[in-house]
Amino acid sequence: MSWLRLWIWKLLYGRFTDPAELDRELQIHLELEAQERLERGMSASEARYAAKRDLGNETGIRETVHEMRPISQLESWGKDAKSGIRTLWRNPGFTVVAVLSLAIGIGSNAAIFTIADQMLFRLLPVRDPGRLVLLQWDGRFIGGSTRGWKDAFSLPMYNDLRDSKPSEIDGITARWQEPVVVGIDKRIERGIAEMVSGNYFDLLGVRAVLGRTLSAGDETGAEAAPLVVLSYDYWKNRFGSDPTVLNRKVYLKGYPATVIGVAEPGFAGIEALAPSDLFISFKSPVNSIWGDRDRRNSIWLKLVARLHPGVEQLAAQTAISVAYVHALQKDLDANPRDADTATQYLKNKLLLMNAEQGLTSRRDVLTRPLYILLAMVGVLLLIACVNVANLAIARTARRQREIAIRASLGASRLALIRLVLTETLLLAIAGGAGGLMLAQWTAALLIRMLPLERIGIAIHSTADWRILAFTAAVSLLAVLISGLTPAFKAARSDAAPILRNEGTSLLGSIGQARTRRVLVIAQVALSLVLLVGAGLFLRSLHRLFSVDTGIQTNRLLAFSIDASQTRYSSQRNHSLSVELQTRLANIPGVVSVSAAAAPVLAGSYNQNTIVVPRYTPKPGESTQAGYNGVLPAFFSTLRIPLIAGREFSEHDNEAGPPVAIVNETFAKQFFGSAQAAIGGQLGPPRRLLPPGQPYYLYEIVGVVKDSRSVNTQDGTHAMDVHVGITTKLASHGVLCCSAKRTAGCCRCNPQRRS
Amino acid sequence: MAKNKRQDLLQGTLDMLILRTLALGPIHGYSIAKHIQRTSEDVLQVETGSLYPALRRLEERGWIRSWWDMSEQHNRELKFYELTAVGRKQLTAEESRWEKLVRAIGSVMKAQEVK
Repeated sequence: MSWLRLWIWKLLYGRFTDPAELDRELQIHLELEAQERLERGMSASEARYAAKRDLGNETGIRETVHEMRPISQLESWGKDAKSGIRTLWRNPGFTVVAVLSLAIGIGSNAAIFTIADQMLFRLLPVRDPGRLVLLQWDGRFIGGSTRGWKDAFSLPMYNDLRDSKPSEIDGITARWQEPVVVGIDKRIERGIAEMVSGNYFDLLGVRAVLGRTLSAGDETGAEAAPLVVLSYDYWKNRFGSDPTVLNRKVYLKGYPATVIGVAEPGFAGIEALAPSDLFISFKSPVNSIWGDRDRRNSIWLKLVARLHPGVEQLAAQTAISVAYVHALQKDLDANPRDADTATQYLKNKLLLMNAEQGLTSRRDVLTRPLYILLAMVGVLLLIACVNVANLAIARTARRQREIAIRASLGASRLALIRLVLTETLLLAIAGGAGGLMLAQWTAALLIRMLPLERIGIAIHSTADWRILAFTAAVSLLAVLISGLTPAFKAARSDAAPILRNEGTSLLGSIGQARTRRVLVIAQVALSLVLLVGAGLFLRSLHRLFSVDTGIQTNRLLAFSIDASQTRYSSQRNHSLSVELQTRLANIPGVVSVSAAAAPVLAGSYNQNTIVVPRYTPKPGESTQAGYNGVLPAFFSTLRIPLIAGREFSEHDNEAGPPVAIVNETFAKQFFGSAQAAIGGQLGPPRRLLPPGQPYYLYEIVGVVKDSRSVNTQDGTHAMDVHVGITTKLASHGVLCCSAKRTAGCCRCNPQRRS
Repeated sequence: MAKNKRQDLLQGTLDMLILRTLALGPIHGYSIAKHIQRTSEDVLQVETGSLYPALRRLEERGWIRSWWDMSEQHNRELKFYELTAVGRKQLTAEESRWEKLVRAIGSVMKAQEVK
């Protein structure tokens, strides 16, 4: 091992371990020089003196050679650090303020980065995500039911595209996500299910950590085997990572299913910000669209394809488009349209979108605010750095004597710069550590404030190596910004006058005073920018998330009950909601109670094509409208103003004529005004109904103000149609009761009473 | 002792001059300085403060090697320096670079008119 030791020794100290050798060489040089002068006739002492003068700064030579050793760099860093710690310790006021400034600056950056990194920059945790593409269409919708819009496809369409098997792609997988009631050991809870095609796990390249994943073999036949794969987080949180979870029976919407495996950690479906708890086949009655699956004009599935290695996205798009156009023709064969519409429909385009980050619809709203936040905390860090720089310069002015003494003792400029920079580095290390701690709980707080459901499951506040690396980089940047100016100031100061006259050292030179003034101005300016930016940001954020929904939510209590586990008949479901309405209305303090088939304000949105007799839509005009069934008193409970006509009453039941209430946008589009809409008729397109079912139209009895926005970003309102809940509509199984309480009735609890 | 005005050595030129001097054979530090001074007719004055660090640097790079030996001329033990094979190659490279530079500067200085 001796060669290794020698090698390390050489690496650290270089070849010149012996300063005595250099001394001897210099001594000989001196003697030879003196001897030569002696031979030329100088006196002995004169010759020695001249030789010495020619040799110059002997210590300097030794220093230069000494510094050439690689280790000397480390040695002086260590010395600087020791001296830095001493100085900082002796100035606790400065140290605390500087470390706190930096901690806030670095911490806020780390916190925002923690969130932005997970929301914006992460790729889908699957095999080779760069080759994944999301399928979208552009053009006309054939008319029918939509759940989703231009990234939604019908199941027959998916089958056609998948079976065309173009060689440019390795396959297409389909997925639908919805909340389901999960029954585990007689306990019932809500879970998010990803309902997937059989090739889903194979195509994405997601393996199981326990058991196995779903495979294409599980979905042969019309209905797939009732098998469940759990997401890793769900397994960990709900089952305590129990390895005996395999073969357990769980109930999904009352249907029994068997757990066959747990997916890899990190994977929670193809939309990272809308994590799924469990995976089942979409060929299952648990799927709420099960009854609608064969309709070519009901679009709901999201499709993701994997490009074959080396194939360009555009080439794959062209290849799939061939099958797509064939499928469009099939759509028309099943749903005949007039020649003009058919021509238009066949011109629909299929588009492939990069899906390396999976589906991003949920985060798209937050992308811009996050970038703005990143920029703002960047400015905040800049302010903190300027602040520290300013303090450091003020302190350097007070330290001028020390620096002057160091300079006069032979410290080079570089050494002085290094000394001051080392101190800043120490501050930044302390500030970085503090910032990291600060970031942990700031990020946790921010995540809780994010207006996305279940976001806490998708992103975490714990620091990983990416956060650590980012924080380290930000801290180093802080050193450079806040340390360089004071360092150069210190190095440039002239030693002589300071040593001569103690008085000036305390005040600092005029130049330093000017620098500090500039820094203070910069600080104030940056703070102003930040303040104005923060104000604007808050306003736009407020606008983004508090779009006037048209519903007064104060003193409003909304909840949903799910009777699907009981598998009640639709008749019983309907009577349950009516019964609940009556009983809740009797609770003291409750002003009014109502119910709706689809939850209000929960983001779920079913749209159907609506037809108004004698109205011909303009080319390209959408006749899709949100569709919901509500009980009487719905609009007064939610305080949605009635513009014209009346609300539903108890008499609007199956016995009476079918009635509907539409929103303002609907009335304006089809009838020109709210008043004109009263008495008008609407209904589903006759062709959408299964043959044999009686066709009837609804009479519009009321028009209400627009009560929700589909698109929170551009604030446009969608058309809404509300019909009275009939036994048919109640069969969805999800009911939403809204009770209006007075302030004194916070403790009334429907469950205790019923 | 009329001394010619000292000329500052171009950055990096000192290394080349040392290598060139050592190309004549093993020689000790003091003689290197004297040789450069003499052959340049006292125009080039090698500072001791630059010479010894430069020798350390060249040795660190492996271009020269050194050892202590008896000098018959001075009748005492001196540290001798000698070119290595790598150093010889380095010298050739630096010489050609230098010639190129001199030619370039020369042609600029000799140019009679702007074309």
